[in-house]
Amino acid sequence: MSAATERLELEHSATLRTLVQYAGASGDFYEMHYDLPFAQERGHPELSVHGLLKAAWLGRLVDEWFRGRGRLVSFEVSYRGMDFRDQPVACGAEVVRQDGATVELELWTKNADGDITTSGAAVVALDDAAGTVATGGGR
Amino acid sequence: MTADPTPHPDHSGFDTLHAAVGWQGPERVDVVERRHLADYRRAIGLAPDGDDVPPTLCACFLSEPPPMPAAEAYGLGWINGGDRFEYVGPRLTLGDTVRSRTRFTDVREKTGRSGSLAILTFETEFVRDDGVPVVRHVGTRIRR
Repeated sequence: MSAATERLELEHSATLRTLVQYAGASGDFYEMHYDLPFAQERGHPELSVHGLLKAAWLGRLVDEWFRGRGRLVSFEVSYRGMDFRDQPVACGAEVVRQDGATVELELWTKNADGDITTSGAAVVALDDAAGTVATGGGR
Repeated sequence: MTADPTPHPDHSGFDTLHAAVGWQGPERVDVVERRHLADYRRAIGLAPDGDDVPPTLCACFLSEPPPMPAAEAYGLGWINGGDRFEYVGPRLTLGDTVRSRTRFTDVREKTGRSGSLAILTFETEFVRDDGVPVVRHVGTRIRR
Protein backbone atom coordinates (compact mmCIF):
# COMPACT_ATOMS: atom_id res chain seq x y z
CA MET A 1 0.00 0.00 0.00
CA SER A 2 1.79 3.11 -1.18
CA ALA A 3 1.76 6.59 0.27
CA ALA A 4 -0.09 7.73 -2.81
CA THR A 5 -3.00 5.39 -2.21
CA GLU A 6 -6.14 7.38 -1.55
CA ARG A 7 -8.67 4.62 -1.11
CA LEU A 8 -8.56 0.95 -0.17
CA GLU A 9 -11.26 -1.70 -0.11
CA LEU A 10 -10.75 -5.31 0.94
CA GLU A 11 -13.31 -8.07 1.12
CA HIS A 12 -13.84 -10.34 4.11
CA SER A 13 -16.40 -12.98 4.98
CA ALA A 14 -17.12 -14.64 8.29
CA THR A 15 -17.79 -18.36 8.32
CA LEU A 16 -19.21 -20.10 11.38
CA ARG A 17 -15.62 -21.00 12.21
CA THR A 18 -14.59 -17.34 12.01
CA LEU A 19 -17.46 -16.33 14.29
CA VAL A 20 -16.56 -18.99 16.85
CA GLN A 21 -12.87 -18.07 16.67
CA TYR A 22 -13.73 -14.42 17.23
CA ALA A 23 -16.09 -15.28 20.09
CA GLY A 24 -13.33 -17.30 21.74
CA ALA A 25 -10.65 -14.68 21.25
CA SER A 26 -12.80 -11.74 22.29
CA GLY A 27 -14.78 -13.44 25.03
CA ASP A 28 -18.03 -12.25 23.41
CA PHE A 29 -20.17 -15.36 23.54
CA TYR A 30 -23.47 -13.63 22.86
CA GLU A 31 -25.54 -16.37 21.20
CA MET A 32 -26.56 -14.14 18.28
CA HIS A 33 -23.22 -15.01 16.70
CA TYR A 34 -23.29 -18.83 16.84
CA ASP A 35 -26.74 -20.08 17.93
CA LEU A 36 -29.05 -19.87 14.90
CA PRO A 37 -32.37 -20.59 16.70
CA PHE A 38 -31.46 -17.88 19.25
CA ALA A 39 -30.82 -15.38 16.44
CA GLN A 40 -33.98 -16.35 14.58
CA GLU A 41 -36.12 -16.00 17.72
CA ARG A 42 -34.95 -12.40 17.78
CA GLY A 43 -36.00 -11.80 14.22
CA HIS A 44 -32.68 -12.24 12.43
CA PRO A 45 -32.39 -14.48 9.37
CA GLU A 46 -28.89 -15.72 10.10
CA LEU A 47 -25.99 -15.57 12.53
CA SER A 48 -24.73 -12.01 12.69
CA VAL A 49 -21.13 -10.92 12.39
CA HIS A 50 -19.80 -9.29 15.58
CA GLY A 51 -19.69 -5.52 15.15
CA LEU A 52 -16.28 -5.51 16.76
CA LEU A 53 -15.04 -8.05 14.21
CA LYS A 54 -15.97 -5.61 11.45
CA ALA A 55 -14.21 -2.90 13.47
CA ALA A 56 -11.15 -5.14 13.68
CA TRP A 57 -11.12 -5.59 9.89
CA LEU A 58 -11.32 -1.83 9.40
CA GLY A 59 -8.68 -1.24 12.07
CA ARG A 60 -6.37 -3.65 10.26
CA LEU A 61 -6.92 -1.84 7.01
CA VAL A 62 -5.90 1.56 8.38
CA ASP A 63 -3.13 0.17 10.54
CA GLU A 64 -1.48 -1.67 7.66
CA TRP A 65 -1.94 1.26 5.30
CA PHE A 66 -0.07 3.69 7.53
CA ARG A 67 2.40 1.28 9.14
CA GLY A 68 5.80 2.90 9.46
CA ARG A 69 4.45 6.30 8.41
CA GLY A 70 2.10 7.29 11.19
CA ARG A 71 0.19 6.50 14.35
CA LEU A 72 -3.52 5.83 14.75
CA VAL A 73 -4.97 8.56 16.98
CA SER A 74 -8.63 7.61 17.00
CA PHE A 75 -10.92 5.20 15.27
CA GLU A 76 -14.71 5.02 15.45
CA VAL A 77 -17.45 3.03 13.79
CA SER A 78 -21.22 3.10 13.80
CA TYR A 79 -23.00 -0.10 12.86
CA ARG A 80 -25.79 0.81 10.42
CA GLY A 81 -26.87 -2.67 9.50
CA MET A 82 -26.10 -6.26 10.27
CA ASP A 83 -23.85 -8.49 8.27
CA PHE A 84 -24.36 -12.22 8.32
CA ARG A 85 -22.21 -15.32 8.11
CA ASP A 86 -20.87 -16.46 4.75
CA GLN A 87 -21.80 -13.12 3.16
CA PRO A 88 -19.14 -10.84 1.64
CA VAL A 89 -18.28 -7.74 3.64
CA ALA A 90 -16.35 -5.08 1.74
CA CYS A 91 -14.22 -3.06 4.15
CA GLY A 92 -13.10 0.32 2.87
CA ALA A 93 -11.15 3.39 3.86
CA GLU A 94 -10.51 6.64 2.08
CA VAL A 95 -8.44 9.69 2.94
CA VAL A 96 -10.79 12.66 3.03
CA ARG A 97 -8.60 15.39 4.50
CA GLN A 98 -5.02 16.20 5.45
CA ASP A 99 -4.01 19.08 7.66
CA GLY A 100 -0.26 19.03 8.18
CA ALA A 101 0.59 15.76 9.86
CA THR A 102 -3.03 14.92 10.61
CA VAL A 103 -4.86 12.67 8.16
CA GLU A 104 -8.59 12.01 8.39
CA LEU A 105 -10.16 8.95 6.84
CA GLU A 106 -13.67 7.82 6.12
CA LEU A 107 -14.39 4.15 6.82
CA TRP A 108 -17.17 1.82 5.74
CA THR A 109 -18.33 -1.71 5.30
CA LYS A 110 -20.76 -2.69 2.57
CA ASN A 111 -22.79 -5.85 2.15
CA ALA A 112 -23.25 -7.81 -1.09
CA ASP A 113 -26.02 -5.41 -2.19
CA GLY A 114 -23.70 -2.45 -1.80
CA ASP A 115 -25.54 -1.15 1.26
CA ILE A 116 -23.45 0.55 3.91
CA THR A 117 -23.56 -1.58 7.05
CA THR A 118 -20.86 0.28 8.99
CA SER A 119 -19.73 3.86 8.71
CA GLY A 120 -16.85 5.40 10.55
CA ALA A 121 -13.83 7.64 10.69
CA ALA A 122 -10.21 7.46 11.72
CA VAL A 123 -7.50 9.99 12.45
CA VAL A 124 -3.84 9.22 11.81
CA ALA A 125 -0.88 11.35 12.90
CA LEU A 126 1.91 11.11 10.34
CA ASP A 127 5.44 10.81 11.66
CA ASP A 128 6.62 13.28 9.04
CA ALA A 129 4.51 16.44 8.85
CA ALA A 130 5.83 17.00 5.35
CA GLY A 131 4.43 13.67 4.19
CA THR A 132 1.40 13.82 1.97
CA VAL A 133 -1.30 11.39 1.09
CA ALA A 134 -3.75 11.71 -1.76
CA THR A 135 -7.34 12.48 -0.87
CA GLY A 136 -10.25 10.82 -2.59
CA GLY A 137 -13.58 12.05 -3.79
CA GLY A 138 -15.86 10.08 -1.50
CA ARG A 139 -17.21 6.58 -1.65
CA MET B 1 -54.94 -21.28 20.08
CA THR B 2 -51.39 -21.70 18.93
CA ALA B 3 -48.68 -20.58 21.28
CA ASP B 4 -46.50 -17.80 19.87
CA PRO B 5 -42.91 -19.02 20.19
CA THR B 6 -41.49 -15.54 19.54
CA PRO B 7 -40.51 -13.70 22.74
CA HIS B 8 -41.87 -10.16 22.92
CA PRO B 9 -39.65 -7.35 24.17
CA ASP B 10 -40.55 -5.56 27.39
CA HIS B 11 -39.95 -1.83 27.14
CA SER B 12 -41.38 -0.91 30.53
CA GLY B 13 -38.04 -0.85 32.30
CA PHE B 14 -36.54 2.37 30.99
CA ASP B 15 -36.65 3.96 34.47
CA THR B 16 -34.66 1.02 35.80
CA LEU B 17 -32.09 1.52 33.04
CA HIS B 18 -31.93 5.26 33.68
CA ALA B 19 -31.45 4.72 37.42
CA ALA B 20 -28.46 2.51 36.62
CA VAL B 21 -26.45 5.34 35.00
CA GLY B 22 -23.21 5.48 36.96
CA TRP B 23 -22.98 1.70 37.26
CA GLN B 24 -19.42 0.41 37.09
CA GLY B 25 -18.36 -3.06 36.13
CA PRO B 26 -15.74 -4.94 38.08
CA GLU B 27 -12.12 -3.95 37.61
CA ARG B 28 -10.40 -6.12 35.04
CA VAL B 29 -6.73 -6.93 34.82
CA ASP B 30 -5.72 -8.41 31.48
CA VAL B 31 -2.39 -9.38 30.01
CA VAL B 32 -1.50 -9.25 26.34
CA GLU B 33 -0.23 -12.80 26.17
CA ARG B 34 1.09 -14.67 23.18
CA ARG B 35 -1.55 -17.38 22.89
CA HIS B 36 -4.42 -14.94 23.17
CA LEU B 37 -2.79 -12.59 20.67
CA ALA B 38 -2.40 -15.49 18.24
CA ASP B 39 -6.08 -16.44 18.66
CA TYR B 40 -7.18 -12.85 18.06
CA ARG B 41 -4.93 -12.35 15.06
CA ARG B 42 -6.22 -15.58 13.52
CA ALA B 43 -9.85 -14.58 14.15
CA ILE B 44 -9.44 -11.29 12.30
CA GLY B 45 -7.57 -12.85 9.40
CA LEU B 46 -3.95 -12.13 10.29
CA ALA B 47 -1.11 -14.63 10.53
CA PRO B 48 -1.31 -15.88 14.10
CA ASP B 49 2.42 -15.92 14.76
CA GLY B 50 3.05 -12.16 14.56
CA ASP B 51 3.99 -10.08 17.61
CA ASP B 52 2.23 -6.94 16.44
CA VAL B 53 -0.83 -6.09 18.52
CA PRO B 54 -3.81 -4.98 16.35
CA PRO B 55 -5.31 -1.65 17.45
CA THR B 56 -8.64 -3.22 18.35
CA LEU B 57 -7.26 -5.98 20.58
CA CYS B 58 -8.30 -4.13 23.74
CA ALA B 59 -11.91 -4.85 22.72
CA CYS B 60 -11.16 -8.33 24.06
CA PHE B 61 -10.73 -6.75 27.48
CA LEU B 62 -14.30 -5.44 27.45
CA SER B 63 -16.95 -7.64 29.01
CA GLU B 64 -19.47 -8.17 26.20
CA PRO B 65 -22.39 -7.96 26.42
CA PRO B 66 -21.97 -5.59 29.37
CA PRO B 67 -22.75 -7.57 32.56
CA MET B 68 -25.07 -4.90 33.95
CA PRO B 69 -28.08 -6.51 35.65
CA ALA B 70 -30.37 -3.50 35.03
CA ALA B 71 -30.09 -4.05 31.27
CA GLU B 72 -32.38 -7.06 31.50
CA ALA B 73 -35.23 -4.73 32.51
CA TYR B 74 -35.51 -3.41 28.96
CA GLY B 75 -35.84 -5.28 25.69
CA LEU B 76 -34.96 -8.78 24.64
CA GLY B 77 -31.37 -8.56 23.60
CA TRP B 78 -28.29 -6.59 22.70
CA ILE B 79 -27.17 -4.98 19.47
CA ASN B 80 -23.85 -3.24 19.08
CA GLY B 81 -24.45 0.35 17.96
CA GLY B 82 -20.88 1.55 17.64
CA ASP B 83 -17.38 1.72 19.03
CA ARG B 84 -14.84 4.50 19.42
CA PHE B 85 -11.20 3.94 20.30
CA GLU B 86 -8.95 6.83 21.32
CA TYR B 87 -5.28 5.92 21.39
CA VAL B 88 -4.06 8.15 24.19
CA GLY B 89 -0.74 6.47 24.90
CA PRO B 90 1.83 4.02 23.62
CA ARG B 91 0.69 1.11 21.51
CA LEU B 92 0.04 -2.11 23.40
CA THR B 93 2.77 -4.69 23.12
CA LEU B 94 3.09 -8.36 23.97
CA GLY B 95 3.42 -8.79 27.73
CA ASP B 96 1.64 -5.58 28.73
CA THR B 97 -0.71 -5.75 31.70
CA VAL B 98 -3.79 -3.55 31.32
CA ARG B 99 -6.30 -2.50 33.98
CA SER B 100 -9.79 -1.30 33.10
CA ARG B 101 -13.23 -0.69 34.51
CA THR B 102 -16.31 0.00 32.40
CA ARG B 103 -18.74 2.76 33.41
CA PHE B 104 -22.33 3.13 32.23
CA THR B 105 -22.54 6.84 31.45
CA ASP B 106 -25.75 7.53 29.53
CA VAL B 107 -29.01 6.10 28.22
CA ARG B 108 -31.74 7.46 25.98
CA GLU B 109 -34.84 5.94 24.51
CA LYS B 110 -35.83 6.19 20.88
CA THR B 111 -39.06 5.11 19.22
CA GLY B 112 -39.13 4.47 15.51
CA ARG B 113 -41.00 2.48 12.92
CA SER B 114 -39.65 -0.81 14.26
CA GLY B 115 -40.58 -0.01 17.86
CA SER B 116 -38.75 1.27 20.91
CA LEU B 117 -35.13 0.82 21.82
CA ALA B 118 -32.72 2.09 24.42
CA ILE B 119 -29.29 3.42 23.46
CA LEU B 120 -26.72 2.91 26.20
CA THR B 121 -23.24 4.42 26.42
CA PHE B 122 -20.38 2.67 28.19
CA GLU B 123 -16.92 4.18 28.70
CA THR B 124 -13.76 2.29 29.54
CA GLU B 125 -10.22 3.52 30.11
CA PHE B 126 -7.40 1.07 29.67
CA VAL B 127 -4.36 1.87 31.78
CA ARG B 128 -1.09 0.01 31.62
CA ASP B 129 0.13 -1.53 34.84
CA ASP B 130 2.75 1.23 35.19
CA GLY B 131 -0.02 3.83 35.28
CA VAL B 132 0.21 4.98 31.66
CA PRO B 133 -3.22 5.37 29.97
CA VAL B 134 -3.21 3.66 26.58
CA VAL B 135 -6.72 3.48 25.16
CA ARG B 136 -10.09 5.06 25.90
CA HIS B 137 -13.11 3.21 24.54
CA VAL B 138 -16.66 4.47 24.16
CA GLY B 139 -19.20 1.82 23.28
CA THR B 140 -22.79 2.38 22.18
CA ARG B 141 -24.95 -0.61 22.92
CA ILE B 142 -28.62 -1.01 22.12
CA ARG B 143 -31.35 -2.89 23.96
CA ARG B 144 -34.53 -3.61 22.10
